[in-house]
Amino acid sequence: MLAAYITYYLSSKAGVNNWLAMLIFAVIMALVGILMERICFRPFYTEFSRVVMISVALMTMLQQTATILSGSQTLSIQSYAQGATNLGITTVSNEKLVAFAVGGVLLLITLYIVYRTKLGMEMEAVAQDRLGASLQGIPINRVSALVCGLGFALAAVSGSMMGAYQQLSPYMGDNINIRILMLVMLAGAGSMNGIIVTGVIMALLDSVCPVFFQSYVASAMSCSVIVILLLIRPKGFFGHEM
Amino acid sequence: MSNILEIKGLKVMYGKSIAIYDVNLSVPEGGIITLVGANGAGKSTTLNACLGVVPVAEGSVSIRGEGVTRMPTADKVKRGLVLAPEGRHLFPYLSVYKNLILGAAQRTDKNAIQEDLEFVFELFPRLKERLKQKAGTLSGGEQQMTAIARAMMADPKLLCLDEPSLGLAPGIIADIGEKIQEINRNKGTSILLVEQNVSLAFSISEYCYMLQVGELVAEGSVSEIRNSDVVRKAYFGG
Repeated sequence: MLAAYITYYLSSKAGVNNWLAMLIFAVIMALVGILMERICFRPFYTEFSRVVMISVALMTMLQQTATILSGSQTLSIQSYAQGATNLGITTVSNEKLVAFAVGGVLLLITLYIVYRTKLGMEMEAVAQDRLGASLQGIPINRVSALVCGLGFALAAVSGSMMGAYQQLSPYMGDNINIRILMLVMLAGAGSMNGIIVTGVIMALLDSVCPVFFQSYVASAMSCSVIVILLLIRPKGFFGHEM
Repeated sequence: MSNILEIKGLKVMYGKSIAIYDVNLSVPEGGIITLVGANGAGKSTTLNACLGVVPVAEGSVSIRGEGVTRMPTADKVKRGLVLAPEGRHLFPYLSVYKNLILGAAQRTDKNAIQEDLEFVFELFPRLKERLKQKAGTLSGGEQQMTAIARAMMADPKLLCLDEPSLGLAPGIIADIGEKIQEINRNKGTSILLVEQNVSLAFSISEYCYMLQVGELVAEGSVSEIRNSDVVRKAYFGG
């Protein structure tokens, strides 16, 4: 949400190119993420639920601020790519194709960082045993801050891509945030592959259900499927307990 | 002989209660020193305070004459002070290999890391068979071996071991004891061993400190301590 708004202001009001605006903002958000980790998350790293609550509180603050500042006018980011492409079976707007491509590239980069670099290995170590990691001389605070920064930057990119095919609203992120939380719970903590597989399954549920049922029934259905799956396997399907 | 580790007047508080006070301890270069004591005597606290895992209230810690009392843990590791903690604290969902490599997280000397890897495989051949296995699925003895091996990968000058015998079968405990001596002999690494298992501690070390409810009550060579009244009272029921 924030990303979409800032991208809007940078591109429409300050005349900066869309992509550049997104990039600038991603960098800024990475720095904000590092700062936030220091102030808001580090004191509570042992309690996941508190971190979630702090995030929700921050989100609410931002949303209210945006509502006050932007008022009720309808805003929209300039398109990243116009038109649509015929893929044979169906036609997809270029906007979504670009978003898909950017998402794919970022996913590969993230996978590379987690599985192939030293930082990635240290990330896993810190997540699995903070004390053990610090006793081996891994700079646990620096690793946590970097991860937080990386996460914020990724959220910034996805936010500004979303803003291009959706109207801006302070609450535009709500739906996707709940989806992400469900996704993490369903996949289980600590499994990248799990996130990918579960993500695809959830997206399929979301897009196939509306074909057969009315839209509100469909979203209720995908949610109930998730509740049922969690009842069967509370720790998620691929990961391990937190 | 110069000392690799000097602890002077160490005091640690947990909230308002005193965990240990006025602990003086030194480890000579290349020696094996043990710190024994019953449950809750403050043995682990002493080690954790040395490493900077718990804050030091008073006193000083120095490595090879350099004061490191309030230095971040990572910098102490860089200076060769490494702890294999109680409960092992392995990375349970990573392979044994990754656990070992992460032990060398601060090092950049690729060749030396490779040599140390060979060394720990020689020390614990069992680990070589288990390289791809996740650390959390190993048996207790294998986990302890991995913990010691991981600590060795950080290239310690002084290796601190916190209760390596905890929860292990007697045969394996003896084995671990031998390995600790082997590390000391072959690598020249000084050892500070914290143990509740006095027979293991006495069998491998030359000098011993004894803690009781946060206070050092005895110190001396193992043969002295073994026959002293304090130990007999504390451990063998008078």
